[in-house]
Amino acid sequence: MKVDKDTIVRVAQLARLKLSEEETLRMQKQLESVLEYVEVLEELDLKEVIPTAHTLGYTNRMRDDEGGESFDVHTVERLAPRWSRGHVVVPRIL
Amino acid sequence: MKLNEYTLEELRALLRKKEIKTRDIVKDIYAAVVDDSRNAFPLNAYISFDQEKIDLEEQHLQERISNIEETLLSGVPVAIKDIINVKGTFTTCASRILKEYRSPYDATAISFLRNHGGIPAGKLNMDEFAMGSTNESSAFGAVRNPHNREKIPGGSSGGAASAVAGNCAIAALCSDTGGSIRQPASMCGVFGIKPTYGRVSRYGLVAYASSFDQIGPITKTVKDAAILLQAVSGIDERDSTSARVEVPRFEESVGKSIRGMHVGVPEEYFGQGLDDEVRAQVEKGIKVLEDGGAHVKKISLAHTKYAIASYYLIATAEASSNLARFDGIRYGTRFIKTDDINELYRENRSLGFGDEVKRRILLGTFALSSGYYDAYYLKAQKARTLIRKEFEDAFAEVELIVSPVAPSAAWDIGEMVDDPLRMYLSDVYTAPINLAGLPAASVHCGKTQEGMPVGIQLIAHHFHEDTIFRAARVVEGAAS
Repeated sequence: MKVDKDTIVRVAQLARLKLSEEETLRMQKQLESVLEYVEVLEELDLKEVIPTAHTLGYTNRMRDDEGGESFDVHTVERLAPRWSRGHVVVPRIL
Repeated sequence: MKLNEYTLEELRALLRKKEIKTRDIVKDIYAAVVDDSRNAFPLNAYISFDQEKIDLEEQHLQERISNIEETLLSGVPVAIKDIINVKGTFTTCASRILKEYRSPYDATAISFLRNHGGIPAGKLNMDEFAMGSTNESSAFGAVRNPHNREKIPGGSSGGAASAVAGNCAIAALCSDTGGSIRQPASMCGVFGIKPTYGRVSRYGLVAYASSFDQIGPITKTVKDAAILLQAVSGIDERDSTSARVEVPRFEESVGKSIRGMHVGVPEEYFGQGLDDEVRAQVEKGIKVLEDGGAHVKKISLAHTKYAIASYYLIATAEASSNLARFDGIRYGTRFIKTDDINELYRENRSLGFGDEVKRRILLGTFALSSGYYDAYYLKAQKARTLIRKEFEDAFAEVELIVSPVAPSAAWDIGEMVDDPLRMYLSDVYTAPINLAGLPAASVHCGKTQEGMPVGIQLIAHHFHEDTIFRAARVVEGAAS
């Protein structure tokens, strides 16, 4: 499939990636070649085929709703790039 | 001979006889790593190796397990691919975005390793987030192949294969999503096995493509891998895809006869694109199995040509979802200060991720995006069903399938950097196995005229790793 520049810009926006002009053009070319290659799947008759959900056919497995071990707040604090008064600091989202 | 040159099995025997201590082994490994770093072309196999911390780990384990010599691993140090969480160590996934991330917990495979007397010893270089077939996408620099330092070691577990082959590790624990254990093992002339999907818990393995990812060992010998795999396998409530099956004593399979074993050779794995020298070595390996008493016959896996397309669409789709969590908010590196949340996300991810990771996130996001989901992702999952079914049918006739691991031996560093599609196509023999969740290994079977190692791939039915170990030992015996 042909991939235009706008498609790359839109997908990068969805993926929260910032691409330079050079990166955008390069990704456009490379993604186009991959998407052309995957067209080989068009040869298959897949109308009646059920898509794979789990490779060994397992279905959802539930565990009991019980409390377990978790990290204490100091562990979380050590991991956070920015931390203040017991909270992870982020820019305003509203 | 220095202790870093011994196998896991040999060191275990020495530890059991109390002739050596774990720290003696760690000391020799460290000396080898330092020595190698002075080479004009260092292997660059480790991202971190903290001798003091490893000695401390051993001390803690000695306190927790009274007779450590009697355990399965008896105190042998095992190097860990830097995508598996080991409490207190940096787990970078060879990415800038996680370069400051220190694991607050152990992966289940690491807990099991410790319970069996294994000591996590050093974190190994790899392709960033395990995305790559050459180990060139690491933010910590490319890894070199000890057989020829101008060549790639393979990937994504290139650090593991290079360290084990170069005597900078006794054994390693790695991950395989589309060939990341088998392909580097083949290119470095060591043994590597990707077990059945669900055999080893994925809890604490940083997720790339969850429906394919599986932890497994890279080792110097088949026996070492059997010991190590036995140690880390087993049921885990923290991984809903963990298989509820008994863990066999894999060690006991190594050395058992293959007389009467039915072996299939799929013609599609020997077609155009396979290097003649690789073909010759693999055919030699098949002959060894035949001489060992196996019944070899040709089979057909006609859907093989659709595997790479199916694999790369699904793997990148899962990756785009799994890697959404890396935003520099709760952990990882935050690169800029800003009041705009979207700018923060975009800057962190753009500065934190390398080229190959961005490419796969973009491809995966595209395949899942509105208007394209049915045409790409869904189609790929349907093709996967056909590929699985075909393997299922084949295993009604044979116990083992053999094939090449990669179309060629290790190539020059830098050769495929600008051609991602060509690199993806080099996974043609390994990725189908992950689509079907089957166990498969690479065992060394010979060398090219240039002296580069070639492995043969042994594939078995779900949970029949024992069949692989039996056959692998026969090939190993003939090659040595």
